Amino acid sequence: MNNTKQFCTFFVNGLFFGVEVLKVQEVIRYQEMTRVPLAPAMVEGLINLRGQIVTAIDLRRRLDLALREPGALPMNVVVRSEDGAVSLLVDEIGDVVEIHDDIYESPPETLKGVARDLVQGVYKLKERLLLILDTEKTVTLNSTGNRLQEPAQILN
Amino acid sequence: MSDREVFNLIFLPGFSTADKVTNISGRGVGMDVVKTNIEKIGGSVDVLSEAGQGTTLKIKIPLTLAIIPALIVSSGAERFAIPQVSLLELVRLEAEQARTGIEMLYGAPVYRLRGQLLPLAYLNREFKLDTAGDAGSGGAVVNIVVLQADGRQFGLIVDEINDTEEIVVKPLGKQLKGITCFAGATIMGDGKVALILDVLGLAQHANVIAEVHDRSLAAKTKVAERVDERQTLLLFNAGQNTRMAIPLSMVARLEEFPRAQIEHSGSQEVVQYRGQILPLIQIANHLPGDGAAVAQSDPMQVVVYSEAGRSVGLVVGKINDIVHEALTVQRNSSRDGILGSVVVQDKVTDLLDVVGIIRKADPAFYGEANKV
Repeated sequence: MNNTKQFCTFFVNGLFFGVEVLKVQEVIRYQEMTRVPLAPAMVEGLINLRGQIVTAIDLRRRLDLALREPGALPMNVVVRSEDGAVSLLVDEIGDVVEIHDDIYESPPETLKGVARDLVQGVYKLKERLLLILDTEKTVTLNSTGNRLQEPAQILN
Repeated sequence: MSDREVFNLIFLPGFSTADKVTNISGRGVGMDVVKTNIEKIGGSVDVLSEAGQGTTLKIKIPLTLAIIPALIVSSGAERFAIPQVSLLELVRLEAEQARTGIEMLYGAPVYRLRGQLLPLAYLNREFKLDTAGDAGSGGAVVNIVVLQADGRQFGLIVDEINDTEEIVVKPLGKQLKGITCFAGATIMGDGKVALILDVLGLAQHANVIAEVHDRSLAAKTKVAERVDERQTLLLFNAGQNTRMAIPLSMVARLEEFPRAQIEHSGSQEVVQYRGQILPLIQIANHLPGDGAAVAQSDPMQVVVYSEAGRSVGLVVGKINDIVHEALTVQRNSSRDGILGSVVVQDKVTDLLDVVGIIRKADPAFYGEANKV
């Protein structure tokens, strides 16, 4: 019974993602951001999270997805990383779901590019697939691509 | 158990008074987290309460974070903080000057700052910020922030110069560590985040200091040599015929006061000077051997020395001359009040130990720290 896990879920460009709930510090609505000149495009800006300066990463750019429509305000999923809190900008927040390990599977070999690197695994929910993100890799910007050769062996 | 101890129970982990415990609340964690985190940064939290009256929570947080003075500038609707330590001066070009002041040298903008060429960088161009009226390209006003990085100067053109502020430096996340132009970030009064410029990194990014490296290095060594050789000295008499000198750089002003103006504050001789009380120190009293020969001239010749907003008047016998001279011989002295001897205009002249004399005469002058 105890091999269930809780995930904070959210939508990015129609895809359903999840992050382990213990890695999430908080979820907040759109915050005004300070752009960082010369920064990688994935870094949308800096937000003031109650006096703490948090880097906001646009998940659409990070995952090589289509860009957000102008005017659409993203939500912040603030995750804890080794380097402190980092905010992931997502389109919409889903529920916190509790899922049994039975329906877990490692990502299919056909997954390409960045997704291959960042998606830890897939939960086959009834209505849709939940992609689990590796937060540590997601917030490390220059890691893209260096794990492409490795077989997916992240099964817990 | 005193009331106080009872109140402090709320900070214990797992202490809860809730009837119902859910996944989220009532687990007795919250106040424990508050206390742990405040204590982690060296603060303290205390609670006082009276039934039916109300509760006071006292949180003390130390100001140990790095606070630096910085100049806030804006460019392209973004604000940036420049640490004051790298700031030399601000230059504002208006009207005609704004159009002609900046010259192009093979595509590199330069400005003549008191006869020296100052390489320039446009902040908005370096950072690819979109500015409506691009400063410098025909704008009405050009603001140049003259900065120093690694011993070299360059000018940074910004849209607007706002104000100086004390800012708290906060580090940037690892995603941004690679950008050498920023030293960190800070939160402004309105709650928004502003980036702190790393002047050296910015200069390298803008290529403004690599180019001028050799030239200004050469200029610097030349200046250094000159400083070694030549110095401007104020020559005066103190007491009997002693020929004395102090570096002119230590002199704020030279004044004359009639003896009648001397008043006393305790045992201290003072005069009223520009709406302030200026303590007087008879130099002759602090020199060996000349004890009796206090300057008697009327009016008195006074060298005003200022430090950190405070002034003191050094009463000398007669002010003779100001010389700009190469100091040829320098002999250290163990005599009180004398730093050493030099040859000025072929005559041996004693260098007055201004700091030592003031410290002896008025130990409080250099601030509280020295008094304790």
